[in-house]
Parts: sequence; C-alpha cells; structure tokens
Amino acid sequence: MENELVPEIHDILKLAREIKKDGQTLNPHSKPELVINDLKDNPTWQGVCKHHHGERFKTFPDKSDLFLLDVADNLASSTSRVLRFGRGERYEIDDSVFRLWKNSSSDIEKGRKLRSLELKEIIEFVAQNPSWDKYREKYNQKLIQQAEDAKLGNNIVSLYTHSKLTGQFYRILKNAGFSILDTELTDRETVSENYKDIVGKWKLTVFKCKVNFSQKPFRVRDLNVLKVREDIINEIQQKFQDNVLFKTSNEILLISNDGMLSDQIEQIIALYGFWLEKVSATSPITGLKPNPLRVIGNKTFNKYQNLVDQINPPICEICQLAPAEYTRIDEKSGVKEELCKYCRQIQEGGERLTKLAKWTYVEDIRTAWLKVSLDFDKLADTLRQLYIEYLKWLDIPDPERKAEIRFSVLFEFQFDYDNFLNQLKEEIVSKFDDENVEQILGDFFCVKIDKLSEIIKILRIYKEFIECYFPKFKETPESPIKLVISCSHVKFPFFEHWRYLKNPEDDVNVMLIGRGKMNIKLKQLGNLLDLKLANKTAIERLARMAETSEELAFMQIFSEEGIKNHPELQEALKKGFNLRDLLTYVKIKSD
Amino acid sequence: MPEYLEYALESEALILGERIKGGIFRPSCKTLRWSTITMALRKLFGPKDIHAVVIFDPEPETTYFVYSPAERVTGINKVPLQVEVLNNVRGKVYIVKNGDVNFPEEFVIFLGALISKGFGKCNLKYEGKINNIERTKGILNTRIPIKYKDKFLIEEKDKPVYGYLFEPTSETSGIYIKSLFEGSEVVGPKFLLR
Repeated sequence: MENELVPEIHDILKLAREIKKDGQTLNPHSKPELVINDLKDNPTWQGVCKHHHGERFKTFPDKSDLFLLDVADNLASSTSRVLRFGRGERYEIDDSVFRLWKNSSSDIEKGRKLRSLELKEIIEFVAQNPSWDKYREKYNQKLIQQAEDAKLGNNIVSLYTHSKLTGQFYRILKNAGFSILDTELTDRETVSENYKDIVGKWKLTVFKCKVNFSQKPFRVRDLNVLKVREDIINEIQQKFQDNVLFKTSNEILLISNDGMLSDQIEQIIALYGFWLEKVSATSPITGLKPNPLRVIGNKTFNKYQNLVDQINPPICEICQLAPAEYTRIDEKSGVKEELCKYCRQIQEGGERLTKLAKWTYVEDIRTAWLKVSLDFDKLADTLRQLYIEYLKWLDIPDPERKAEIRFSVLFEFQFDYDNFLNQLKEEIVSKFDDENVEQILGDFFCVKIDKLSEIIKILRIYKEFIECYFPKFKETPESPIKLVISCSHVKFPFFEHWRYLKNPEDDVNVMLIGRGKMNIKLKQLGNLLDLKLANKTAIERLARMAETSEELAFMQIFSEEGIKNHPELQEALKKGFNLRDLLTYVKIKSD
Repeated sequence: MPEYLEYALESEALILGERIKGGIFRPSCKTLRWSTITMALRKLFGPKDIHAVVIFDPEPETTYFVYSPAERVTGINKVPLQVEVLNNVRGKVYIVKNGDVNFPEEFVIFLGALISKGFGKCNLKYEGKINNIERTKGILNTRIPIKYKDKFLIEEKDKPVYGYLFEPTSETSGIYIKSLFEGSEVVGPKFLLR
C-alpha cells in the first residue's frame, strides 16, 4: 500500500475541526490549498486535496488518478452535483446523518458539529500511508456518525458509506481502463470542461440479478439449496467485491463496464442449475441509476442453464428440469430418489440443518418458518418518498426534482438492514433458546414452538426491531421489508411453506397451514398486538367457531354475547381490520 | 390463423397432482396444464391432433383430502396421504379448432386424480368460436409446451419460466417436453394471459 493513492481516505478533512487563519475561521476540507504542501509526495494526501474541480476550490485534479477519484467521489455522493445548493442559496448544517428510514424532524439539530479531529493529527495519520482498514480501525465511529455532506437536505449518507463506495467506484473505473491524459488537466477550467464531456461518454452497466432455483425442497437435506444459493451470492460478493453495491440472500446489485462480469456470474449460477432473473441498464456516468428497472431502455431477461427440448424418463424428482442420472436411497427412510447432477451436488453437502433434521424424526413438533424479505424496487421508491418528505420539512424548493436516491443511500440502508437482521436473530435465539432455533439464512429461520400463541412472541420481537431501525416504514403505504411466518407440524412439506414464504402478500403475514392466514400492514401490527382478548374461554370458543365458519364467527362477535365478550374485536373490525385476519389472530392467541 | 372453441368448465372438486416428491402430501397444480386437458380430450375423442388449455377464473379454493391407498395384493392400507383439492372450479377451455373432431355442445370429462373416489368430473359447455384473436404482451396463465406454442399463437419473450410437461408416446410411456409455465412473459392471445 506504500505510495499508492488510497481513495477511501479522500474526505478525511471532513473530520477536521475548523482552523483559524488570518482572523478567519476556515473549514480545511473547503480550503485544501492551505494544507496541500504539508505532504507533497504523499499520493493519498494529494487525493485528499485535489479531488474537486468546482469553482469554490483553488486546487483541482491534475493527474489521471486524481481525476478518476473526482469522478468516483461524485458517483458515491449522497446527492447529484446538479441538484445541490446553488451559489448564494442559503443552507444550514447538521453534521449528523439523517437516516431517511429512521429519523424525523425532531432529530435535526441545526448547526450541530461533530468534526473533532485536529488538523495536525490528520496530517500525521496520512503521513504513515495508512490503508483503508487502518483508517476504519482508527476512526470507525466518527466516520459512521459524520454526514458525507453536512448541509441539511444532503446529510443522508455517512462519511463511512461514502468513503467505502468511493473506493469501489475508483477501482471499477481504473480496472475498466478509463483514464485521461495529464495534459488535459492543466487548469481548473479545462478540467471542468473535460469532466462534463467525459461523464457523458464513459458508460457503466448496472445490473440486478435475482437467483432462483427450481428445486421443490422436501427433505431437510433438500433445504441445502437455500444455503448453496446464499453461498453463491457470497462467493460473487467476494470475487467481485468492488462491483457489488447491494445484496440480500437471493438478489444482488452490481456495476461494471462490460458484459464479462455478467457472463462470469451466469457461469457460476449455472453450475448448480439455478436460473437468473436479470435487469440491466447501460448509461453514461451522469445517468446512472441504482435501480436499472427505472432506466428507459433497460434489458430484462431470465437466464437458465442449457435446457434440452425433451427428457426421457426418469426426470429429476427434485428440480424437474434435468434428466435424473443418479439414484439415491435415503438412509433413514429407505426411500429411493432419482436425482440430476445439480441436485445430487446440492444434496452432497449433507444435512447442514442438524436441529431441523433431528426435529423431523420426533413426533408432535410444531415449527414456525420465519422469513424476512426486502423488495428492492419498493425500497428505492419508498426511500424517494421519504426523501421528498424530508426536503419538504426543510422548506427546500422543488423537492420532487431534488429527491434522487443514489447508490450511497442504498449502501447506507444495507448497513442498517444487516444490523437489523442480526439483532432480530439474536433476540429470537435469546427468547426461544438456541436449541429451538435453526438459522437457515441471514433472513430465514425455523423456530420450534409448543403452541401457536408463541407466534405472538415472534411478532412482538419483529415489531420491536423494525420500529427501532425503520420506524418510518410504518408511515408509508407499504413497507419494503416484509415478514412471513408459516406454521405447521414439522413433517408438513417445506415446499408448501416456501410458496407462502417467498411471496409475501402484505407487510406482515402469518399462515397457519390448513387453518387460516393473516395479512396486515406494518402500521396495523401494533394495534393488533395491543388487542386485549381477556376472556380466554370466549376466545377459544370463537376460534373453534371460526374453524367451521367465518360467517358464524362474525355473527358471534356482533351478537349480544359478543358485545360483552368481544368489544375489542368489534372495535378492531370497525377500525378496518379484516375479519379473516382477526379470526386467524384469535386462533393464534387461543392456542 | 387458428381458431379456438371456447368452453365453460365447471367442476366441484379436482385433484391436479404436481409431480413433486412430497411424501405424504401431494399439492395440486393451480393451473390446468396443456397435458392434462389435452390427453383427457384425446382419450374421449380419439387420438387425433387435439390441443387445448384451460384458464381458471377465479382462482379455485383449496382444501385437503386424506385417504389411505391399500395394497392391491394384501388389501392392507398404507400410510395416509393428504392431497390438495381444488374446489368450486370455474374456468374456460380453449380447444384449437380441429376439422377431424366434432366437439359436442356439452359434455362431461374426467380430469386429474382419484376419479374413482368422485373427484375430477368436469362439465363443459360450448360458449362460442374465437377467431379474431387479439394478441398482446403479458404473463402466461397456463402451461404450454414450446413445440406447440404456435398453435396457441404464443411468442416467447425475454422472461420465460421453463418447466417440463409429460407427453405420452404410447399407452405405457412418454417423454418430458420443454414448456412455458405460468408466469412467463409472452406475446399471445389475451385470453391466455393474466
């Protein structure tokens, strides 16, 4: 790392306190010309001081690497330069990050300053030619707390996210072979002209890939397919670290300059017989959008491994998409299975879910499958609505035009989303005990429960954490984060649960296989859990009635007896709860 | 351009078992695929070049039926199986008009599994001929083999959902043929799309 530009450190001066010079209080980040000669031969320091070409700055990028850093800095910024505050436009400062999914107007503190480092400390640190890891290790908390752009309305991304993303974009541009001659960087005006020209010419492709499988998992061993898919996504992230901008357990967002990356990913996926749903959009750098689906002229297609026109029996019993080439006999049940090469490969991983495997051989065990999923398209749209709302609070004119959700905001969200999932898992394990929780994926668990009413514990935990991390999603018409709980006897085939788990109908969904289902909005969850259904006998009777006939149960709620025993249910129905949802909740509560 | 005969289909209870390894549970396919209806019509009207698909509307309700098949030789009941049943099924059958077969105005056909137990009876009633086909881009609502997609004026687009349907080649055997499944993005007759 010696004598190489470390792009992630380019904004370190944003952590510096103001300095006094010639009777003025100055911000070192805005006046890099005052400090540029402090570390003349240090490439990272040159990057710190010369990565802007705007009018406000006296320095400018005068080498190709620095020019790439300037472009990367813009790609990774929270707001488009085009839509930033213009000359003479008033703005106020808050160094703290305003998280669109969490914060409200009461969290804003105008004039708040968090930058606390002395300039001398920063110069001494950069003089050691630190790496990104060293930078993070030393200043992690400060980077997370400090907004990349402290102007109110722009302070929606942390310096940590911006720094990391700048590094990624810098390397993407460099590895793509984008460059500019030093002779075209002789003065700020020329740089500015060339910049405008180049960002219209250099093109990158954003593509979003959803990895799907055709297998219908039935036995515990078949569930390896989910683990394998997660492993593949992690492998893609490891292999193409700089290109991956966002990921979940089944979807990944990448950026690249050519189709080779996409081809390599398709080859990795095809090894396991998976298929890809892909959306891609190629745009000049100025027009890059994080959701390729929203780009005019995008390409969408499904990519399968080579499928033959016809298959002579036998066909693989698990995926039904390839000829069966192997016969496997299950050791415990003695059942024979005809498998293709892909499904055999997946099953060869052995039983990775050991607790679940144990449960399936014990009688009378009930399980609740719990899946949290993120709708990427809905996320981008929801964040934009929240951003418009934030700008309106600040009375910033033309909010609909200015509210653009960029890569950095999604990256910032990913950080909180991953923490949310980790905390959710820890709390579920803590409340149900580790031996009763099988974690299948980061967002997918199986919990052994004794009675249906334990589902309420899961719902309370979910409510607690989603309100802690993403309280604003309660206010939006639809939450981009969905929860599905599907509950039955442990021996019920998983592929039937999977049908519900992978297709959430609403924000919070509970499926009691063969007994009922509940699909409600996130904002209704609190009211539902607050319903005081005190008369246990009456509730149990109502639940039994509902098993036979929902209409009969409805009449019971509004009968004379219902007025006495179920006033809360009557109120809930009047407030817009659906009868079917309420009756399913009653069944859960009564068990 | 092919013409289609449209029939209204009604059935109290149907079991359209999926080909999935489910142990003691057999889910039902939620669409009436080409292979099921076509083979049933060929069985009734002879092994002619008959092709048909069905679109359910509305989506049928599902319940479960438990039964215990007995060994033929010993008569002993094996482990009980739970099958998914489609109830109060309503839909439209689209038969590719065929000069060889004179389809009646109304007829009864048996589809799916456990016919001996009373499932699968479908009443078909002729509703009319469709010849001015309006084709549009949309999402396929049934399953059609790729080799017969032209009979239904289906054109694959970039987002197919593939699977395989069984086509008998004799009384005792057959092959699995590559097919477009429900959810595929296609250009086709409006009546075959979601």
